[in-house]
Amino acid sequence: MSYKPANELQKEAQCLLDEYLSKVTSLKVKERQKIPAQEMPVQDPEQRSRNMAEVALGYSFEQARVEAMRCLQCVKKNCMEGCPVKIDIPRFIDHIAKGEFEQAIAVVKETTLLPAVCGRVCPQEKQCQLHCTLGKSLKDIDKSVAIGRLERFVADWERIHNKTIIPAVKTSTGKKVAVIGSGPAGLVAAADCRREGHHVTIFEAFHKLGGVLRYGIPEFRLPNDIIDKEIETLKAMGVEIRTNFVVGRTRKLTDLLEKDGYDAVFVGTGAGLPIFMGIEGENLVGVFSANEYLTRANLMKAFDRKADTPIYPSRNVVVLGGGNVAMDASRMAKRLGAEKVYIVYRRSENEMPARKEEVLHAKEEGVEFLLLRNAKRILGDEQERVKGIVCLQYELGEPDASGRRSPVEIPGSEFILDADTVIVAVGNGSNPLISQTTPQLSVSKRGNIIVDETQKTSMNKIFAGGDIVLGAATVILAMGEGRKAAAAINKMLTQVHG
Amino acid sequence: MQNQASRYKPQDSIHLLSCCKIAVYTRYACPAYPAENMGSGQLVTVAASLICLTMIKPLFPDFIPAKGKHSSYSGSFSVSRFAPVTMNQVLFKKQLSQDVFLMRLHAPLIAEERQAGQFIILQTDDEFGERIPLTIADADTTEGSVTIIFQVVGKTTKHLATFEPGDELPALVGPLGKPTHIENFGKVVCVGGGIGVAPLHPIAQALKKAGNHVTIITGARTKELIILEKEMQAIADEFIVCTDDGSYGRKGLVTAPLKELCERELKPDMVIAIGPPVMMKFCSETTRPYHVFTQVSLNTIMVDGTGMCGGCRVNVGKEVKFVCVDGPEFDGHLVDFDNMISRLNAYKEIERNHYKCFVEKAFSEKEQEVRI
Repeated sequence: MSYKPANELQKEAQCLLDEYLSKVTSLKVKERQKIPAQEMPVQDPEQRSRNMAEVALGYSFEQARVEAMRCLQCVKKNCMEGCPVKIDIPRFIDHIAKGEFEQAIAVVKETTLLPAVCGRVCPQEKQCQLHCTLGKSLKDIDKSVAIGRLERFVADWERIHNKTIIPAVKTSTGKKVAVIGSGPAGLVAAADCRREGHHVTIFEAFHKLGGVLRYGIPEFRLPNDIIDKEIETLKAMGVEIRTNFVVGRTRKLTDLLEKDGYDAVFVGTGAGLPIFMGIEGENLVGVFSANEYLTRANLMKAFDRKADTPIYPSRNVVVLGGGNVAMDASRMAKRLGAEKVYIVYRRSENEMPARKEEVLHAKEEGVEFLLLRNAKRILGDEQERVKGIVCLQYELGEPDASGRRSPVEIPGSEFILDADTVIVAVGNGSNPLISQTTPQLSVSKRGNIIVDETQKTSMNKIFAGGDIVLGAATVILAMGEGRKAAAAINKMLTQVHG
Repeated sequence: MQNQASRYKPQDSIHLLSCCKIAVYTRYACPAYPAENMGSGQLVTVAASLICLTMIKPLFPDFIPAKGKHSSYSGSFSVSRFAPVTMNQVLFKKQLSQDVFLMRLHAPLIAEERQAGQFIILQTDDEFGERIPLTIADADTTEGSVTIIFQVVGKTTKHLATFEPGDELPALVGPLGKPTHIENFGKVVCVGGGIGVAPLHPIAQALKKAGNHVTIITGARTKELIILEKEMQAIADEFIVCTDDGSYGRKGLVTAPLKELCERELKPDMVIAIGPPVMMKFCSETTRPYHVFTQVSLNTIMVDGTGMCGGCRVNVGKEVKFVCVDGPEFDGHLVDFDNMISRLNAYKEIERNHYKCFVEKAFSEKEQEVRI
């Protein structure tokens, strides 16, 4: 795909809008199908691989309306089936088509709290857009209505035009809810409990709020301003915030209930425990977990010359893994000045768990993909610094338990890649701090907290949700769990109250 | 929570004291008024006690007046901080040697929870600052404080050393890491090297309390760098000081007396060694042939301190362990010190540059001030 600058895309959309505007309410299915899919305007790949600014610039007003007109407004809303929080997608898109953005965002916010985030980071092509009738009728999932981009558009529109409505908070119930972790699950749970009039305190281990949204997802994909705005809203609702507070260490989980007078606790501590591959040389200098690399770059701002936190100076970087985190790490390495960045992934592109858009953006920025390859051993020099990595070639065999065709090693296919940095992005386990310090809490073999269908844990008054329950999953699923837990907490507290 | 400091601002009342050149700290001045419970109604009393108590100032020879350099309330008064103690405030500071400082920080929750062997992470700037782990040398639950002892080795510690009583640290989190396992082992030898004596202090204290016979070996490059000598001596059943240059105590390394102790008929049941990585490595090598269990406390590079980044990982036997959540204490005979030392040097050059820039900048600012 050749690069088209934003103003060109806007001009094209303007012509289309002029053509269709008069018949926006009476467009036939055939006509809608013919409207060209609107491309997301992005920063020039050459430039953006050297800056931290957001890559995707967002639809213009014209593009959003044209894209919205493509929606067939199906009676049976298949797209909603694919949405973990069941946003009424056709209804909000219809409002956009008519230029009623305020109504559109209101529909989105009926069921989701962080649309500006989800519009950017949800894997839409595996959720709502997978089920889109338009995409199916055109036999191309890339031609589905760009639901995520439209969600982002209305959320940004609301933020930029200062239309954010602080949700109403009911009169104080005198009940106290502790929310542990300020990632997507925690933020949603906090907002939902606060709305019911409970006093809510968010406890965050870091000095900044946002959890994975802050330390994990880079600025070029999710600007910090957006997270700050969401937190401002929470503060305006009266949510109390305590940073630099590690529940389990600074205070035991049970102490919050027994000594500090909290009536319920929501644990949303996330999947913060990096998994390494267990291969030779993984402790050499220059091998990092993606968590560490990204935390240094994002939260600690190591990309900025003013920052004290150092980041490893790299020329040749190998990133192991094929998920969003691997894409983020590889693109970050490029921005921090690496000359060559390779993604080494043991399956093929079809099996990659990363969002399609991220894979595309990484390629555009010059990240090289070595698919059906896997790391075998990391080589070091006499100072124990990484100097290369031995990889093997793979081929796809029979489908495994996950339904994906499992990779099989090709004997004798070893080759060496020159590298001074290796970033391991093969997943995260669940953070052990809470379970280590709260032995009464039931956890699975993998360390995930076990919950019932209302997100309640094995302990009274303690609920959990997000990656600490699911294992490493997505922002939207974490939000959904936070919401479900908040509903159960609110129910429990009213019952006790009444 | 119960530790929220009351929120009256010194500006509101500073006129009361504007004529008095006092820089006394409420904590010292009126222990009867725990700062957290102090409301504005009690202000006059406090102000009065402050005036009275300036006379007792000589009783607190370690006292260092507040300069309010980092304080948000600094004005032209020498009184910049007589207000209630706020979170993370520096309560007390003492320079132990040229590069070594002791600070007591107001952190009541950490003081209450901490146990021997645990550490904190702090930042001197919460926008661009780095997170550095420091072991807790002591804690006082009545005062609600933790004591840290640190050596200026890089930019952040250099910056930290400029904080004065009354200044607030932007971020302080803890206690982190697993506490030391304390029981009556019998004969225990505690070996502290340089600044490592600081984290060793609460451990030696707890071991003594548990009924152990405690031998303490403390060592440093030179006499000037021996810290907490009196405090350690007070705990020890047997106390040995060594300096590399022989300027104080025995001349030589701590491993020499350690070896002698291992060769005694009743060899130690356990050794705890804390200090520079090389010292811990050689202590472990010294005790290995005698099969004396040797515990070391590691201070590796870490970012979050909660198990999230994995930057602190070390090889312990055949396993990879995270110092922040699995440690910081490990069996010294199993730790791969050479790999750990290489990993500690990962950012050496960058850190050196940061330090240089910081010192140069501070120097040029001073020069400018002088010119003005």
